[in-house]
Amino acid sequence: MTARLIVGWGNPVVGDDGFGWRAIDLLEGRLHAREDIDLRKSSTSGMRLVEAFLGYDEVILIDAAITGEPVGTVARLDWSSAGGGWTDRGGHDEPFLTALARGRTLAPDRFPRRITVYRCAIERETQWRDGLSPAVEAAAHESARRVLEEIEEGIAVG
Amino acid sequence: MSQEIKHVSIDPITRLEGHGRIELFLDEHGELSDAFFQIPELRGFERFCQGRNGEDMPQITERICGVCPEAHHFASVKTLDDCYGATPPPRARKLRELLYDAYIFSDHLLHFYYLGGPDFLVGPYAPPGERNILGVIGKVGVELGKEVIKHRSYGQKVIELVGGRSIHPVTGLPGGQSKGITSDEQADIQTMAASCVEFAKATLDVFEKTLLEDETYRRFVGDDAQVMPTYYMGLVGSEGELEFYDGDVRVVSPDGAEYARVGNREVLSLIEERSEPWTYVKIPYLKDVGWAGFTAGPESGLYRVGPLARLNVCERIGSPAAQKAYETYLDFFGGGPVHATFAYHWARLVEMLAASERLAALSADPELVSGALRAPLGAPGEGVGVIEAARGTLIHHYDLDENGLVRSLNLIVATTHNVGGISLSIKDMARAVVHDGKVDEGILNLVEMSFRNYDPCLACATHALPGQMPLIVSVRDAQGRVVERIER
Repeated sequence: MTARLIVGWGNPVVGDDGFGWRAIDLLEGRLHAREDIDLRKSSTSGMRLVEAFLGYDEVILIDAAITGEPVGTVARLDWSSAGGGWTDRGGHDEPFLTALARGRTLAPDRFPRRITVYRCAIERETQWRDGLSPAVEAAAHESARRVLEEIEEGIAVG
Repeated sequence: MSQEIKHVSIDPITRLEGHGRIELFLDEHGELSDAFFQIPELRGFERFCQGRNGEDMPQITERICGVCPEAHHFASVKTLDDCYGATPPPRARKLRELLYDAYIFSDHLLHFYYLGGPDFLVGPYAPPGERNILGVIGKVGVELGKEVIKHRSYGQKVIELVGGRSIHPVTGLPGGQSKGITSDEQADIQTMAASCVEFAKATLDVFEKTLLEDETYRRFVGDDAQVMPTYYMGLVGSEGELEFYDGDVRVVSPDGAEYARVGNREVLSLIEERSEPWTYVKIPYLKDVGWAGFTAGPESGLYRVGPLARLNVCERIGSPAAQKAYETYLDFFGGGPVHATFAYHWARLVEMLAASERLAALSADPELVSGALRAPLGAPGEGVGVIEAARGTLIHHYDLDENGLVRSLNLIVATTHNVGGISLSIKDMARAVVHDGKVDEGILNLVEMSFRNYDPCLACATHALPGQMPLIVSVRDAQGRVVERIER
């Protein structure tokens, strides 16, 4: 079993929502030879995303979110026990935190024991566009650097 | 309309990373006056694509929505086949269909157990904390719950083996596929497919033993307010069989007669798109029937797509167990076409079985591992590709210039086809349950249930803080002031 999964979550054709994908691009050059680490880009969410976590010891999720903080602010969150709170369903998937709780309950033996989130604050995008704003591009570099430091220092692997 | 109309806004409908709104208008007596379903889209996709390489479209269009990338990928690839006048070799076509059957199976599985099924298996009036997959497992047992996870992973595995990635396929190219599968991979797929067939049968068994015996579901299916005689559209095979990947587009009228049967290129000639001031989405209707407003019946050009529609436009299924399930379904309703909106759930499970049987049959085909993967391409030009996404007919239309760059692009997605039907369903349900201005949790869920039948895709990829997308109901007075607010 591969020890770690690092997921860039977002959409590369919706401007700053491509933050997670950009961070994975930056990490690929440094981590492509590591057989214990899988890198993945994903635009899917809810249970579809959480299913991708199953079978890994640890997951690092790199995502952009509208938080109200200044654009480009990076926060590191420990979501190892996050989940629940949202008990209902949507049109065709469950919200991510609900899906986390579901995955933990339905597949406890295959669920990662640690989930770390690198979250970058962005503003709402209203148009399709390529590329990141300078602040979010800098945040992608900062996040990639911090993820590499975690891996080198063994923080994420416990 | 009265001066005292209240405005109830359910915003957003889902806690997905897309935004939708249900607008309910109440009159001075607190009774429903009107209802609309809105999809605020990200704008400018066509302009975004203009001037880009057409061959990039399978990767770009699958980013439109995080829910059905497989459908957009292969709708795009089929469109490029047409643009370049290329017919994929049999091996490539079979690989595409193999992946596509796994996608339909997997997507329908998720909808039934996580989204649609809890309303009935647990009950529409059960507390929200129980009305979910865990509540379902409480009803059907832990072992079946484990099977849900296992078979979702099988679907994803097949997609990864054929599509190169488990979530966003990358192997479709104009004229074929970029890679095949090995004999060992084929053997793995065969094993998984056989298991998927048994799981689909078990799911239908759960449905027939629980939901069909359940008074609530039977009441919803038989409720006149949720029976909507519209036109239906979907793909069919050469012998009228159910199709997901390719075939003619068939449209039937509310009485089941064939209204049209055309090739992919002609489908756009059937449709007109109407703009409304309250939504960016253009509402399609059948051009020659005409626009009669948001109403059903033979005089209204509104039509529906998706599982209910596909079982109404096909004449047979094309695989044995699903054919039997289809006949049971038709017998229950006294024959087709079936207009009961809540039958979408049942139709979805018949399709899930059909997709698994096709997956099993195709997975044994020796041509999957031998033969050419790509056909030569002609000069670029205009093309149309039609495919059945899990939630309904998906149309891509591109015009490429002499260098293969996109001159123009138009997409009509399943939920756009269904906007009229969804609005009508919400209106009918809200009219039945909203009285005296009372809008509570239980009433909201009933309105959402009418929406959830369609498995709608909101085609929007912006993010909010993951998981924190509340459902907010605002009741406004005639001056737009919020007089009541429900949030969960």
